[in-house]
Amino acid sequence: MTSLLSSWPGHEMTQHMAVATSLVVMVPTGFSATMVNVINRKVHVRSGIVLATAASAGMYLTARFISPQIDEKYMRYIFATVMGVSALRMLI
Amino acid sequence: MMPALKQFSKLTAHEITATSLFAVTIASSFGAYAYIKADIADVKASLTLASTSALGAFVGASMSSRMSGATMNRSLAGLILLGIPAVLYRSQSSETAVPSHQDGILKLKSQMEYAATLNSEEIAACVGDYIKTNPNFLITGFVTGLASGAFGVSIESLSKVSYVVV
Repeated sequence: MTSLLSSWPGHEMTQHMAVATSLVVMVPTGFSATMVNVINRKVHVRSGIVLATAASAGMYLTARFISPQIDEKYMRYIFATVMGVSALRMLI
Repeated sequence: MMPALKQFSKLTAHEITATSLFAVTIASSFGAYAYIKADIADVKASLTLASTSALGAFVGASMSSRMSGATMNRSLAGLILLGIPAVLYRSQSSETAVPSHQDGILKLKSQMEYAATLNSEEIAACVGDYIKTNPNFLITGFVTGLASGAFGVSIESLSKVSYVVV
């Protein structure tokens, strides 16, 4: 969605705006799905809150202290590698 | 988050999907609030996309509850693998040729100021026109919502996290 928003003819947004807009969209989307999951008793609320706190703190610390030290190109390679390993781990 | 939960917790695939989506939604809420307050997010586009993505997420979550854990894991792994070329491609292309950040913010602020002068009927007409001229937003919203609802954290979120981090 972010890529589409930043390149949609006639509606080109800056990358920052596209990320912001799609992040806003994620909130009602996530709540809608979470509502179904809560009804189906699949959500561990306490674990979710702990994960959200840890993820927010981790993202902030990474963005503040680690990312500025690493070239964007390498950061994306690292991210792609993590994605690949995660996907393989899920398949195996 | 999901592979880590699979590795280190005793949660089932469905519980992992649901719990991680719940966590990402909470974390996204704070980011979204900050972006809206700073006038960086395009609220009109967000509402258009959210109108169908929420529906898609509802359908996706309902569908996923009928999937087996193994099918869910394989589908999510496939989605993640599909996202890898997109991440690598973006690494080779510079930022897309879009308006500068300052121009974008100024344009958005003028739109918000204009919207503040409208009454509710004019806003409804304005939103209707916006949806008519951007039907693709409705489709994009639905597909994104469907993926997010069915598999918890979609490729979309993963790429967004990468952007926020970078």
